[in-house]
Amino acid sequence: MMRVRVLLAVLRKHLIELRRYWFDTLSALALWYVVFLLLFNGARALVSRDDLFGATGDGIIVGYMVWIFLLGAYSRFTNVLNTAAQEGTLEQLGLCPAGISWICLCDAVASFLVDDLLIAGGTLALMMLTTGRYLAIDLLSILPLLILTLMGVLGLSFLIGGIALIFKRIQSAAQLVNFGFIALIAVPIASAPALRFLPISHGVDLLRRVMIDGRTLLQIPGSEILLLAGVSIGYFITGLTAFHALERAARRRALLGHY
Amino acid sequence: MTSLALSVQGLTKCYGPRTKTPVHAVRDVSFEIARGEITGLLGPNGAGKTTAVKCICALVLPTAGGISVFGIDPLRHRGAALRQLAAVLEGNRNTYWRLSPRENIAFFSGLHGRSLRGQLRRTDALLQRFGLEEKRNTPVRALSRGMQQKVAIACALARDAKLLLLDEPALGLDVASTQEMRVLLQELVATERRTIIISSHDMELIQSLCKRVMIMDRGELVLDDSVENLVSVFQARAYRIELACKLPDALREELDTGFPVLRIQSDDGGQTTIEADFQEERSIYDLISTLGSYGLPLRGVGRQYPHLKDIYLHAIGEELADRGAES
Repeated sequence: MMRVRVLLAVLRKHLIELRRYWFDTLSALALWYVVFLLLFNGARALVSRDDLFGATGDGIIVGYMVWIFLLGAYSRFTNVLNTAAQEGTLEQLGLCPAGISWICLCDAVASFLVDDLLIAGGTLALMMLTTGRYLAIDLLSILPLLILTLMGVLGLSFLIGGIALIFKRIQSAAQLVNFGFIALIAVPIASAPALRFLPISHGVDLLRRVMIDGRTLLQIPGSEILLLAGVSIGYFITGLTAFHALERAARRRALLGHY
Repeated sequence: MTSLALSVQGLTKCYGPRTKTPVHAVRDVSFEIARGEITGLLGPNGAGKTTAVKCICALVLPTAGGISVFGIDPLRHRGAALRQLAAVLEGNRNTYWRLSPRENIAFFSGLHGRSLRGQLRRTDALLQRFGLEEKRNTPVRALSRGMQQKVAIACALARDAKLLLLDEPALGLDVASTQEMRVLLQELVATERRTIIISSHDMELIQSLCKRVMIMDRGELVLDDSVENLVSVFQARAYRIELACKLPDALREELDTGFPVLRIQSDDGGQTTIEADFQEERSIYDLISTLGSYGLPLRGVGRQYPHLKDIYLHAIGEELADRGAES
């Protein structure tokens, strides 16, 4: 009950901020769309027109949408800790009986539900309108795959967030991870199946199959989904464990209050 | 159910490499606080008050020692112990500046697992009580420093925790806000049936709020007694002597070196007040005969009602003297 109420409190806070700072969300959507237009038109110079408005273009759209979600789950998460540390609310979060990690997790869920679905969904709609390529939006198949993929990302976020508790200013390293995501999204799973053990890559591959090839979740082999779940949950638990160890170190060294 | 709200045994926190000389922020501090007790924690900056408070909240893990909050060890069962307490921490914002007082109170009571329906009822009552109704929907960023601090305290109260830790609640407030904060805290102490620890370097604040006072200095607990006791011990020995003239410089020097003078005040009208704290009752006569030998006009002699400040300076002075004797 405690944890549910924490989740509700965090969700409410996100909704309030969305309502009050709606321009922030709107400009994020606009920015993502503009960057997409640049990418897409840039790709025109490299790929033939048929390709671009065909399979390659679809690939770009799916990859781009996943990227929005990944960055949402990752950067917002680490931002929560960074802003809390900067503003001086981190210690108050540290007084929450459910723990800082639970608040971070709630924040990730709230970001996903309140901000990212809006931004990524909006950008996806604009991308499809622009390119005229309408992808299969089978939410029942997409959401489970997306959530499993994001769990792996959260593991990574927990690790980086934990490091931030101790070393504070790690924005430059954290920024680099953003670009690491592009590589992980673009990894060619088909040519090297071992790469499925990387975070993200396998999930994006399965999402492409659903959104581009029009498969449903049930048409994807169960073993593939199990592997995705196992790998993602593995990353999640590893990251969470690391976060708890780093949080403990931060409490031992009295670092929660300082920035 | 234990009747103790808080028990701290041998609390020690040191920083730095263990092999070289570590810095002790808190050194072997022990005390117990009963339910419903209002305790003041006094000490100069860097005395270890904040570190001690943060150890109780498990925000800082101690190097050694045990803590028990209503019988729960916050180091072993952090979640369970944290349910019992709320804290306003010094040097922090404690609230979200982008949110209004109302939203802040609701958010932080939610973090403590309070239900939404209960939250709203409690929030409105708190806003009214703290005189924040008019500003209920203004972002905290736009409020005065005093109001922001009120919001932080309201957020802590909203959690309905049994133990309330207020670390320097009046720090950084202007004179008017400090006065307002004092009234608010007095009301809180009188009406709330909670155990409260208030840390401050403002003795008047502590004296006006607390029945018991603990004084920390350089990480150690140097004094722990009821305010009443401390004051009566001092009352027996403190005198106030009024002279209808200014003090000659030679006499002033003699007083400073030969007598336990707390303070000497001369006003523009040519009057002087001497306050002295005598370890032995007799020396009041010595002082008066010294004044007599200068032929100074005596206006009055009386008992001095002691300020906690004097006790405090005295305790810290003794601590320093002990330290000097040790080394």
